[in-house]
Amino acid sequence: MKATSLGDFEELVLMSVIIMGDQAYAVGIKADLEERLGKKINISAIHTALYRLEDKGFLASSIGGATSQRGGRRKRFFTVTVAGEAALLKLKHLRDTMYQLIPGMTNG
Amino acid sequence: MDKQAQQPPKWIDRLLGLYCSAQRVEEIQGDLHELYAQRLQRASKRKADLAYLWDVLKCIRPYAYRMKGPYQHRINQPDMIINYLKLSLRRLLRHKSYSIINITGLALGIVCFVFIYLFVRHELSFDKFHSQKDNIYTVPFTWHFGVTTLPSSHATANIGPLMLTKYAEVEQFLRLKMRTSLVITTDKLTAQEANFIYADSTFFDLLSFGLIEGNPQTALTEPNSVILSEEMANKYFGENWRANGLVGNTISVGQRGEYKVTGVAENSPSNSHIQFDFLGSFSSLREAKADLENFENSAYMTYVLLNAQADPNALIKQVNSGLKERFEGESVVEISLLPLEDIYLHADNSNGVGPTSNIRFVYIFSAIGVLIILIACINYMNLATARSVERAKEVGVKKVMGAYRGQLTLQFLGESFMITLVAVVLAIAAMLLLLPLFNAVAQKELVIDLLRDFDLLGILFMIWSSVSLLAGLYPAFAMSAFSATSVLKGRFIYSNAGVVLRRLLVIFQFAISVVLIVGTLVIHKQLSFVRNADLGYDKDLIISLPLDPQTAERADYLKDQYLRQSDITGASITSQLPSRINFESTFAIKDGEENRQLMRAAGIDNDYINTLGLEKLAGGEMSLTNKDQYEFVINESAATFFNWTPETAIGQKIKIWNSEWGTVTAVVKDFHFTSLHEKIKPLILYNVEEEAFGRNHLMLRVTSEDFPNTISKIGSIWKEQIDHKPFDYTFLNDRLASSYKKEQRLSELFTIFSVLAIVIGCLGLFGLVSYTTFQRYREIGIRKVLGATSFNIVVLLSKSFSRQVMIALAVGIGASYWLMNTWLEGFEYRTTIGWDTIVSVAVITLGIALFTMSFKAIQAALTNPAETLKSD
Repeated sequence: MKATSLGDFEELVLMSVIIMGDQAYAVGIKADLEERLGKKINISAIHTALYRLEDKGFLASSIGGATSQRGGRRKRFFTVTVAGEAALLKLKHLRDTMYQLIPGMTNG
Repeated sequence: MDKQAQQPPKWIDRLLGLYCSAQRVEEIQGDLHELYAQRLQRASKRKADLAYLWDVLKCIRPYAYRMKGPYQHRINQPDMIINYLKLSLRRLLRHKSYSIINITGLALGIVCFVFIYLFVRHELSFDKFHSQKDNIYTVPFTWHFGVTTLPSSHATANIGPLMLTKYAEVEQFLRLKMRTSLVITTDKLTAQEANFIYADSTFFDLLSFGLIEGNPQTALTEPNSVILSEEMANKYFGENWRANGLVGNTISVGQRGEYKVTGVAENSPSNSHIQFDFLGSFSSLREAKADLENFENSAYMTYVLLNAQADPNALIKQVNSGLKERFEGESVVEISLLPLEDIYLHADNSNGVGPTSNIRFVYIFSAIGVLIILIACINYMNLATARSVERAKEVGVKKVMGAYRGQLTLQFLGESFMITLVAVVLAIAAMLLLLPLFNAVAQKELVIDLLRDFDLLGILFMIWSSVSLLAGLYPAFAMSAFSATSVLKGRFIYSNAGVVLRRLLVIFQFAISVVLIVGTLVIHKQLSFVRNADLGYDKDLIISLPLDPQTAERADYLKDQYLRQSDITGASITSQLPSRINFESTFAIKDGEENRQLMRAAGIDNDYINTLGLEKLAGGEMSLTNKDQYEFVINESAATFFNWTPETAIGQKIKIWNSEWGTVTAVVKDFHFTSLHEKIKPLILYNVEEEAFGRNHLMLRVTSEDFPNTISKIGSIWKEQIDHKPFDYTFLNDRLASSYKKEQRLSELFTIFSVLAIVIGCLGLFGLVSYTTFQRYREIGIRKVLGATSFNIVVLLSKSFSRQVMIALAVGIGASYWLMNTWLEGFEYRTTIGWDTIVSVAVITLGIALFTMSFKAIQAALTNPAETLKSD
């Protein structure tokens, strides 16, 4: 298997999962990212990213308890795995090194 | 806000459930519902609903429908489907006769349907290939002479040019003039040709016929130019004409001289109402020049091209009011405009340049196709529901194991799809095998091209799915509705509704068969009535030889030569054969003022009456002593028409056109000189001119003793005297028969389809009877033990079905009586349906049905009761 990579949007979703802590699930992440990015995101895009990240082993998930909110349907909560954190750090490191090589952006 | 309003529409939820895996559906739906609730805060329910639908649609992504982990299968696992297939196959193989009946019935039905589809499609495709078809019309004339109107498909030579110059809507015109017997000569060959059409140079402008060689703009401009069809090019110049081309060669055309070949055209497509072998330039027609001056000879098929904005109805009115001014007195001509595409199926009069048909044929055959496939579907339904008892246990067990009704319905439907598929495949094989036969009967050149004919593939697919649904839906619903508890308890009772429905279907099936059989018999009866009808003259043993102008000059000499032969008892020269006299001319009688009438007319000679054996009512021999004067023989109807008795008619004065007055010398009894579709009309026979014009046929009455010898003798005398025209003859009888070609074809096709309908119906009946018999084996055993005779048992078994067949018979005969009477009304002289037909239909239907039933019933009745009862 080739080394699993992290897409742009996937990276954002992954970070959002970490930020949201133990309350990370699709609708919440959608709201979070929409606020940060200032644009609309379709729920299916979030789903795609979440499930793919799970396939890649960067996220783990569990079914939560029933709430009255959504007709009693349970939520799937996501948490970041060690591999997920590592991948994120690796990406950050790569970016940092590269930014440092760009003149005039060092103190950004 | 009430609770209901807060929920998104249920059907969208179901849509999600359709594709979403069970594993994911909860969380995804939860997410979507949460978003929905959020949206409801901000927007209307309608907007939220729409957004929800959009979300659901957007979620059709792999993550939603793909399964993961240990629960990878949906409820209907492939294993289960394989199991269904296996069960169906086993059933098919175990109940061989049942499967064969079902599949053959369906396959036969499909074959009929597809053949009829191909036939109808070809009929409807006529003249659709012309690119300007929407703006091209023919110009048929309708003559009005006093109170009589005479519609014709042809027009005079001058109407085309007249319309072009006077009316802006008319962009172009085209005239065709058919020549049905011209002798064509090249170095290689001399033969008589029947499809020589003279056409204006606009032929290729208006019509989309293909030209292999030659310039479409100019090929028909010069006088004495001719275009050959590909077939004729091969015939007269050999296959290798392509190497050097044909343009520049000459052919000699009858007495009309040498024509220069200016092109070679593709053969006329089979779906064209114009079928030509040769196209001569219109400018070569010398006689057309005279016809341009007046309105006397309406003998030209005329087409006009209108511009796209033209309103044909307005144009007709304009032209007709213009024409009215040109005519004085009572005879007036009117035009109408018939769209090019309608000529083949919707024209009332034959066009003279190619085939015509009738839209009614198309309707009749489409109906038959649908009915036959219905019969086949009914077979499937009946057999499947009848046998459902056997499958009750299977249904019961499956239900106990947790099968839903929907799944069972799908299983049975799937089975019907499978069986129909087998039938479709078989039908395709049968179609390919039977196509030549069908083509021969239908007189078509249809092809089945499964790889490229997407319409046909579409129809096959449509048949497959609709037959599967039609035939399988009811059994599937009926069987899946069985209650598991009662079935497994063994307390399975026939549903009454099912039995009634089955009976109704059998009645329906047989009623259709009866209608088709009555139809076949009546058509046969009418045909033989027409063939054997007393036409008023002796039509057997008359041979006719076609004459052309050059032979006509020697016709009298030939006639004398022939009359010397002992086996030729009569000979006569005439302008038109008595099998079809359709030439009409204006006649006037001296009745105070001149009274002009349009009447059928033919030129004859002294021996006409005797040769044909017409019955003379009054008058003496015709004498051609006075050659400058017309003498007339009229038929009884003509005498009545002029208010004469046969006796007073003799000596009356009549004149043709504007010639001198002539005298009526004889009155003959009415005889049929057109097909029996038409009433006998007034007819005037005049002495044929001395010169060649009008001497078109030499009729010979021969004796029947040594036929081949007589023919060869006639041939050799011909060859001695005539060297430019090959010997050619037809029997008057054959000519007469060809007037009923349409009916002949209808009759043959009807026979085939009604035989098939009854075969399919009987297959179903056989299946039903054998099944019910099988179910009652034990009952039969007990009855026999208690003393029932074999006959009692046969009666017992066939009673209920016989009753259904009887009802079907009554219904079918009622319906067909009405239908066939309507058809017969198309004939002026017709047979009646009569008791004999009805009795024979009853005997045939009951006979076949009883035979089918008794086959199994007798078998059951003869079985030793010990055999059937030993297992209990």
